[in-house]
Amino acid sequence: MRFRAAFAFDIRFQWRHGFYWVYIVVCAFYLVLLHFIPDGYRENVIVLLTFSDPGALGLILAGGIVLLEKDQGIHDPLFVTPIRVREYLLSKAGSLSVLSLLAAWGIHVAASGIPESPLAFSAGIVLTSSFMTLLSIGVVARCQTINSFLLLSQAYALPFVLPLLGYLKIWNSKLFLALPTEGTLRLLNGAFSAISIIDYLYSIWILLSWNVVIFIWAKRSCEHHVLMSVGRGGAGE
Amino acid sequence: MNKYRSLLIHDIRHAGLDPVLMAGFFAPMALLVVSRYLFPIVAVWLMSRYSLDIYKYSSFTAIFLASTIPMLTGMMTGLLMLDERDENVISYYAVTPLMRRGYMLYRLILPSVLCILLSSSYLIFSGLSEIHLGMIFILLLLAIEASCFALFLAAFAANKVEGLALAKIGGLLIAGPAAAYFVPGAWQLLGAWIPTYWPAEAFFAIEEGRPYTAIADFGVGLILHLALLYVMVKIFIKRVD
Repeated sequence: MRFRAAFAFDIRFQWRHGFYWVYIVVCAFYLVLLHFIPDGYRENVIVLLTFSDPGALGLILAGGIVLLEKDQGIHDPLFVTPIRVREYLLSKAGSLSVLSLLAAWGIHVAASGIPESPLAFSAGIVLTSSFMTLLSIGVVARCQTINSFLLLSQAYALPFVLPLLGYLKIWNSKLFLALPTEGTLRLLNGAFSAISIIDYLYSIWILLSWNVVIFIWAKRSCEHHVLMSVGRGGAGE
Repeated sequence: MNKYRSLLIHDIRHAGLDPVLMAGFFAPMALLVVSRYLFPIVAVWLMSRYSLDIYKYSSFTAIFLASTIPMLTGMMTGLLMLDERDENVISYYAVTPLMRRGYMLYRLILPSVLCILLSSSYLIFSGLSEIHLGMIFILLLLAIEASCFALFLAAFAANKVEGLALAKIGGLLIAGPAAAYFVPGAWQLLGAWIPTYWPAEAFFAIEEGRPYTAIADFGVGLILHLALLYVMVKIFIKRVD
């Protein structure tokens, strides 16, 4: 019940601050861009676009939301209500995943039709989006300014883009298999061709495992940096 | 002048303490290093592996990456202004001798000056384009763009969350050089409303030795940039009041 209320509030918040309108503009721009991409490259570009934008939108936006909440002192009254940190985190991750999913489907359907494997495609987007959102919240809990958050979040996210090197056939390493984004790329590729059951299970497993790890880390960050400051104006440490 | 000096000293000291503000300086420097040293390596690799000659696109790469510099300095300033507005710092400046107008002037001139320094360094040292006196006009347009990017966020966003969302749209405006270079014929008119289109057009005209076209591109670009700056200053002042 508490989660449902928080989730509905987050969706309303994102709507009110124009996230959905911004993504209509962004998707329209991507569709124009894809129009000029030669056929031989289009599939790869769609996967890269979907991975780097709708998939990772939570990385930037979640941090901004939490920083604004910090400034407005929302955490003080929020965390004296029965809401738990885990519900707060899941609501942010869930609500931003909805936006990611809509944007990814919008781009994909308009550019190349219904995905070949809609379930794999959707799972890839949702689990990547929630991972990026939780990573962003874990980082932003330690930041005071928007610029410091932007820099730090990029530094934290950098190792997770390494599997792109393998995807682009620049450099491949078995170590990439340990990163969640390797799973993302495999699932997103499933939008164009059928993926094997092994790839499917591996991708879901690696993404879920990383989501759990990053959830625990984000929860600890929030408890340490946000909850501990409740009563002091909510502006971090 | 004194009042601006103390603000500048504060910003430099803040930048020295906070590595993040240094990023506004180091990110363009990283672009410079990538263009100067990584571009030739990637060019050799692509040639040997895919027989693709990316030196054909060196002019485009030069102006495309140079166009990201006003975006970087402008957007970082814009987000800083939103931070300062969310924390009510602007109201404090308004009651100092600097006043609100002085604060805005300082916050707009700083990214422009930074942009001129960094963009000129990039165009001179990246090795991707020829050095030409006409580049001064390109730099002028890029400098105005830096202020426009800062105001785009500060004037239209109600807070930093909306600022980040708008930065997303602002980032798309980098498509100007791509429209000027890749989009054929009359379709280019679609890109002409993007400010970054005009410095790129003027840049290509200079590179191809068409001075009159470059002057015309610069003229149209200057009018568009100044008009944008004027409109955004008006909106920002209205919003702060």
